[in-house]
Amino acid sequence: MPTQITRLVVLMLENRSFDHMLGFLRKTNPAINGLNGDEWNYPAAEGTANVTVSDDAGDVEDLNPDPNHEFAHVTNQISSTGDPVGNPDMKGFVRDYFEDCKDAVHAAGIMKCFTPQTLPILSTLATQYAVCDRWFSSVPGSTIPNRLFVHGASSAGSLTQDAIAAPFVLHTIFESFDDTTPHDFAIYTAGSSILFANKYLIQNMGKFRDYASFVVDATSGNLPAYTFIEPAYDDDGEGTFASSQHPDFPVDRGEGLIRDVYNALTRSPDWKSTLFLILYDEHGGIFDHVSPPVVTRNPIYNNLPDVQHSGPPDVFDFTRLGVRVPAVFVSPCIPPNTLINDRDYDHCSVVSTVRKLFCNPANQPFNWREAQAATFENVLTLTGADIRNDVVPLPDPVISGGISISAAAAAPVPRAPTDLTVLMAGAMHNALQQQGLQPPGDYTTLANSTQVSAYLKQARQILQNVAGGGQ
Amino acid sequence: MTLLLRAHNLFRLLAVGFMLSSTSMALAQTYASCKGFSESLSKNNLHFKIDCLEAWFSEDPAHLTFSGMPPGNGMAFGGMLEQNNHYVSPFSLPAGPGIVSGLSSPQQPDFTTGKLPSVADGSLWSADGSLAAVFSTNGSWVTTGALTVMPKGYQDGHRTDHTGVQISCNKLGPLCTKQILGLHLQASHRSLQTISFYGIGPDSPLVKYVFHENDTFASVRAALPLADWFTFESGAEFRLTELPHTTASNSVSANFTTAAAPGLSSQPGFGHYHFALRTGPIAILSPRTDDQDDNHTGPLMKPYVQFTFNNSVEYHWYSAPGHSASSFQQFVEDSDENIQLGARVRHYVQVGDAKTGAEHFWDSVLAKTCGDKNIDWSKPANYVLKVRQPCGFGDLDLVSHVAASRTGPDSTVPFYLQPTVGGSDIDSRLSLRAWPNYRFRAPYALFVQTNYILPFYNVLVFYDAGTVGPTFSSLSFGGLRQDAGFGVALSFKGRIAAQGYLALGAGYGPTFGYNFTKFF
Repeated sequence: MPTQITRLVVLMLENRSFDHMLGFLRKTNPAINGLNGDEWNYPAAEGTANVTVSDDAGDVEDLNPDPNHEFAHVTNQISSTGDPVGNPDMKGFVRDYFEDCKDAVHAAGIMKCFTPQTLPILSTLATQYAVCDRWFSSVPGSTIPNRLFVHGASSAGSLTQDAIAAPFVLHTIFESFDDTTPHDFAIYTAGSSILFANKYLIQNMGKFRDYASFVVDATSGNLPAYTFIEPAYDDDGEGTFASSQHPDFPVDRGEGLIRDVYNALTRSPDWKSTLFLILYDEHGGIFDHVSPPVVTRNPIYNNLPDVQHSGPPDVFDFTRLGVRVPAVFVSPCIPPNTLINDRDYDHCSVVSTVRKLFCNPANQPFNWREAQAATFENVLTLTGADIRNDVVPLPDPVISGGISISAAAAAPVPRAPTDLTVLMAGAMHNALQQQGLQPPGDYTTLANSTQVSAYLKQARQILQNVAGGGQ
Repeated sequence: MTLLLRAHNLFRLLAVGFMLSSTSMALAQTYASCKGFSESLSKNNLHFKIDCLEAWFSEDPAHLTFSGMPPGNGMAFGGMLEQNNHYVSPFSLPAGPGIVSGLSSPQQPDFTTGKLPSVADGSLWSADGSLAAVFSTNGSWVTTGALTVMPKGYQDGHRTDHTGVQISCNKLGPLCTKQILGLHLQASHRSLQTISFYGIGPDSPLVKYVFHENDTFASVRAALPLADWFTFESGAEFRLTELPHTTASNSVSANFTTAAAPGLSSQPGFGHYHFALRTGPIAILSPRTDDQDDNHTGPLMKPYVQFTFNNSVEYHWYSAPGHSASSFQQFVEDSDENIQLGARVRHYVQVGDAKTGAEHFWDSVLAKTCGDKNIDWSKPANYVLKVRQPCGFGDLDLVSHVAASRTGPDSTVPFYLQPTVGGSDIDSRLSLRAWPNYRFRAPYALFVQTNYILPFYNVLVFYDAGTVGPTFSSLSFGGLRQDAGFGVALSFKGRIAAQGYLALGAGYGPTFGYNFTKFF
C-alpha cells in the first residue's frame, strides 16, 4: 500500500523535449530510454551529412528564432515523409527548423542536448527521485492546447496557438474542487496565466496566488491539496524575468525556479506526503527520438464524451499524442534512481490523478482521454520508516555552453514580446468581452514585453475588481 | 444595501480618479480602443465607461491627466508627455521585498526574478522623463518637468539570503541590490489661488483667511539603494516663493502683520538641502501548522498577516542667503505601517455545522470573506470553509508624522513653510480629517492615524490625533485633538491612495472630505 499523496504540486515549464533535457541521463542509467549519442536527423540540405545529436546545448542562442511547433510542423518533425501514420521516424526536426531559420548550421542546433553537468538541477532531481521516460505532451502541437489539456483533458477543439477563445469555455479539473469535497486548489503565478481567461476561474479569482508568497505558504503548511505553479513567461520590464525556459529565455532561470520550489517543499510540514511533479508542456520543436504513440478509445469508455475535435485547416481527433517531454517525480517516498515507464503518460494523467485523489468520485471524467489516461497515485512507494529523511542538496544553475547570460539580458529594453504572452493577452481580451467588460486596449498592437505584461496585469485587475476574491 | 451600493460607486469614482491621475499606472491603452466611447456612454455599463475613459488618460507618450491640487484649489485637468524606460528605479518605495527577521516566516524575494538584467556595459543606462501642465477651475495651475536617470556603473552579481537561497542583484562595490542608483531632476512652477490660514499655534481661532502662493522649484535628488528594502537619499533644491499682496477682506495680507505671520512681507529664495533614510521591507507572519483536509476540530483559523513597513527619517536645511532670519532646519519622520490582516482556515465547516441563527450568519460572513460566495445552504454536507482556505480581513494602516523645525535665536520659520495639521496639507497629506484643511499651523507638528479598510466594498474607518506647537515639548499628548469617521478608500502598493470620508470630532458636526495622494 503506497503512501497516500496529500499534496500534489505541479510545475509546468515550457517547450523542451525529453531528449533535449534529460536524454543524456542514459549515460548514468542505461535503463532510461535516452540518447546513445548516435541518434540523427536528415540534414537541412540534400547532399550534406546527417545531423547527429550533440551534448552542447547552450543556455541561450541555440533556439533563436523559436522553432515552429504547430501541428503541421510537428508532423514534419516526427516524420521525414510528412506522414505520421504508423511509427514515425522522428528524423525531420532539422529540416523543419531550417524552414524557419534558413541557416543550415543553425538548424542543426535543434539536435543539441543538455547533459547532467549542464542541467544539474533537473538532472539531480531526476536521478535522486524518479524520471518518467514515457510522458508525452497531449497534443502534437503548441503551448495553448497542451496547457489546456493539463487542466481539462481537452483543448476545447483548439489545435493551434491562435485559439484564444478556448481557454474561456474549457471545463477544467478545478471545477471538480466544488463544495462537495474537502480538498482545495491554488494556482501560483508570477502575473500571467492562460487560466486567468477561464470562465470558471474568473468567478473564483481568490484561487490565484502570487508566486511571491509560495515559499511562505509551503513552509508554513498553507498549500492546498492541489497546487499548480505557473512560471514567469516573459520579462515584464519591472524586475521579473522569464523562468519558463521557453526558447530563447535562459534555461538557468527555470533551473533556479525548480530549485526554489523543491527547497521550499522540503521545509513543508506536509513534505512526507507531497509529490512534486515537474513537467514541460510540449517539445517546442526540439528533437526527441521516441515516436509519439497513437491513443485509441477503449470501448468501455464509449459512454463518455468524445474530445472536441479541431476544425479546418488542421482537422484532428486528438488520437495521437505529442512529442515526449521531461517528467520528474520528486517525493521523499520515492527511492533514488526510480524509472517510471510502465505505461504511456500524458497531461491527461494529471487531470485523471487529481480527480482520483481529491475530487468527488461521483463526478465522471470529462471524456475518454481523461478516463483512460495512466494515473500516478501509487508512485509514492516508500512507506512508514522507509520514507526518506534526506534533502538532496542542489547545485547552482549552470550557464552552459560558455555563453554569457548577459547576451540575452543585454537585449534591447524593452524586448519584443513572446507569441505566447501575446496570445495570453488575446485570451484575456476575449474573456473580458465574454464577461461584458471592456478590455484594456487592443492587444494586437502591443509592441513589447513591457506593454504585454502591463496589459495582462490590467486585464487581471479588471477581473479581480469585478469578481472579488479571497486574500 | 443602498448605502453599500452608494459606497461602492463612490469607491469606483475614487478609483477612476486615482487611475487617471497616476502616471505610474499608465498602461497599454489606445485611443483607437475607445472609438465607441460616446456610444458607450449611453449604455448602462459602468465598467465599460470607466475603462474607456481611462484610455484617454494613459496613452503614451501624450495623454490627458487629472490631479488633485493642494487643498482649496479644486481638481485640475491637463496634459502630460512622458516616456518611461525604467527598470529598477530607486524612487518607488517600497524598494522591493526585503526580509525582517524575528517573524516566523519572513517573506522570500520573488524567486521568479532569477537573473537581473545586465547593467554592465551601460545596458541599463535609462531615463524616465515627463512634462505636465494642469489647470484647475479656480485658476490655479501647475507645470512640471522631471527626468530620472539611472547611470551605468553596476555589475552583475549574486548574493545569498538568510535562508541560503542565492538571488541575483546589481552590484556596486559592496552593495548588491535589485534597484540601482538613480538621479531625479525636476523643475516646477505652481500658482495656487487659495491657501487657507487660521493663524499660528494650536489655539488659533476658527477664522479663515486666505493667501495666494506662487512657487518655483528646481531640484536634484539622488537615491542609493543600500539594500532591497533600504535607501539613502540626498537632494538639493532651489525654491522661490512669492505671496502676492491682495486686498480682499479675508486675505492674510490685509489682516496679518509679519510678526503674526513671519515671511508675509517678503519671501527670500531658499537653498533647500536634505538627507533621508527610507525603508520598505515586507514580511509575512504565518505560523507553521500541519493541518489536514479532514480536520474538523480545534482552532478555526490561524493568522496570515502581511506587514509592509514604510518608514523614513529626513533632515532638511532651508538656507536663505542674505536672509538668515528665515533660515531653519527641519527634522521629519514619516511612517506608514500597513498590515494586511488575513487567516488560513484550520478545520473545515460544513453547512450542517452551522444551520441556525448566529452560527449561520457568521459562517456566511466567513464564507464571503474567504472568497466563496456561492454556498448552497440547502445541502448539509457541503463545505462552507475548507482547511487552509485563505481569508482576508482587511487592511490596517498605522500612520505617524512628526515635523520639528529648529531655528537660530534670531530667526523664525516663514509661516508658509510651517507644517500644518487638519484636513489635508499642501502636499495632500491627511491629518485631522474632521478639521478644515491647513487648520493648525506651527513650526512643530505631530499626528498619528489608524485606518482600517474592511474587506467589503473598501469601507474605511479611521481615527486621527494630532496637534501643533511652538516647541517640541509643547506637543503633549494632553493637547492632542482627535477625530474619527468612516468612508471609502483605495489602496495602492500598501498605501491608501485615495479616499472619501465623513469625520466627526471637531465639535461642529460631521465633515465630508476627500483626498488624493499628491502627484505633482
